[in-house]
Amino acid sequence: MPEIRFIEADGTPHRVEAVVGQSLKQAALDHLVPGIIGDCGGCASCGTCHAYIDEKYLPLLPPADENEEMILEGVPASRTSNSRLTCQIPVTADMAGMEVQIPDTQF
Amino acid sequence: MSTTQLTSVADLPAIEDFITFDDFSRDFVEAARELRGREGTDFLRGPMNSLVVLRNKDARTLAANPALGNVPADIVLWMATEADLGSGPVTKPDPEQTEGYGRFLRNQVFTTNPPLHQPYRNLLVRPLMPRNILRFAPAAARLAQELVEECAGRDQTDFSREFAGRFVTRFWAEQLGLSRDQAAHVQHLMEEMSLTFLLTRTPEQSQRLFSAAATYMDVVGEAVRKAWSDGGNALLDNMAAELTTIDVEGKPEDIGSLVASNFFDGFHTIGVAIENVVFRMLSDGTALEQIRADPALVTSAFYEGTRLESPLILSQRLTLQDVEYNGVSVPAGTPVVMMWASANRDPEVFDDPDSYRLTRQIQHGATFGGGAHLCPGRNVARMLTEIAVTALTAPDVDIALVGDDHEWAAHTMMRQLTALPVTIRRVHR
Repeated sequence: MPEIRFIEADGTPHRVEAVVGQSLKQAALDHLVPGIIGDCGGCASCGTCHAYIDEKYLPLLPPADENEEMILEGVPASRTSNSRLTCQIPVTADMAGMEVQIPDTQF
Repeated sequence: MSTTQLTSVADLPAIEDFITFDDFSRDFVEAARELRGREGTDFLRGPMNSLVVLRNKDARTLAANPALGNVPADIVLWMATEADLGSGPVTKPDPEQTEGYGRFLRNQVFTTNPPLHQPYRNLLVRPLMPRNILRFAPAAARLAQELVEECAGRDQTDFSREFAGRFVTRFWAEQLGLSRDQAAHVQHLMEEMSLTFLLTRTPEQSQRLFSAAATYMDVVGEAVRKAWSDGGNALLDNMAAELTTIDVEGKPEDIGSLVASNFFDGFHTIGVAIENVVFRMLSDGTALEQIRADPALVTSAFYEGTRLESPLILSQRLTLQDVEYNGVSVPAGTPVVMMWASANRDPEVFDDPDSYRLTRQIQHGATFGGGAHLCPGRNVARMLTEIAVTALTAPDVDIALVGDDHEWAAHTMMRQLTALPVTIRRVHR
């Protein structure tokens, strides 16, 4: 199980042993990481699981599809080049050590 | 190798094994509380062999399951006109009577399924995402102040009609290019169309509903078509442009029908949300002062108020394929009823769930549904509610309930008080 660090907007870190195959959003929810909400349950419909992904891990991720791009354009926190919806990212073994920065607001 | 024993929906205990349907639908919140306290009630069989879901986790999980789709318009229309819920005789109306109501249903995203559903939903979601609605906030704040002024001049305010309903209809009228007179007309039509939420209607109520729906589709549809053709309305321009890119059978007829059908919840249900949030705030001994002292608590007031008094008490979906969930076998074509009024008060998720706490950590409940069917307008609902509550809790405003005898409307899917009289005054502190 790769260890992933979720970091709240105020800097509070959360080390999460994620299950390969589950979504990054679900890994955060299973470990009660504050700031990842996932109102829609994981179908890229709400934007409340937005996070900033460690730049060096971006090439490992599946690209955002048109629907995810549309949602990311409307999230309340700043959208940056490493913005992703964590519900759309399946955890893989090579994500060990990845940092995920949580935005200061999700709604 | 193990096998799981599955129970079919038809073999689940029926609601009426525990409580009469009449009592169940009289006050869903009370009935759900009672049912949750009994053994073996996580899943129940409702009318028409529907699966009724009470628990938060189950309701949220099933809501996110893509195998649960929307109930198509023709079935919703059948349910509204011919279904027998056992509470009285059913009078089937003539088709011409229901033409406008059918048009209202057919053009709603809430009656569509794949492949149309997602592109249609995106068309509505895009302009209503949190960042994209900020441009509407100044107009909403101005309208809220205008209504505080209007209400402060009265001895007593009918909050539902004279503040909440008027606020949301004036707001959307401005955004969609309707006049103030048309806004007032739409508000009146909303009162008639709220009959759509009744579980059973008298023939006279049905006639009023169908007539109001036809008029509403014409009034709003025509006004929006004109506003769009006049130009200069970015909201309409963007939605109309996106509509032309959808190449799927069954898409909305045009921008007028699209807006009329889908902004019904904006004209109507957001007003009920504001009403319920304000009622809960005023019913609590300290909430008003807490919010005055810390205006950021308006967000908690919105989430706590709509958690406890979710405007839409339940959502109904239809299984698009066979589904197995937690030992229950749900055949394709089964209605699934997710009781938000119950899920939002589930003690497994919410500590002391019936209490109103502004200090409660915001846990997004199930007030606005879930999954691919999450309400596209929920961000606007929150913004408008927060702006209204901010205006009503300003240091120079006093607002108080009149009387303490408040009653929830019975046998309806809409959690709404029968009346909410308040006083609103300008004061000097």
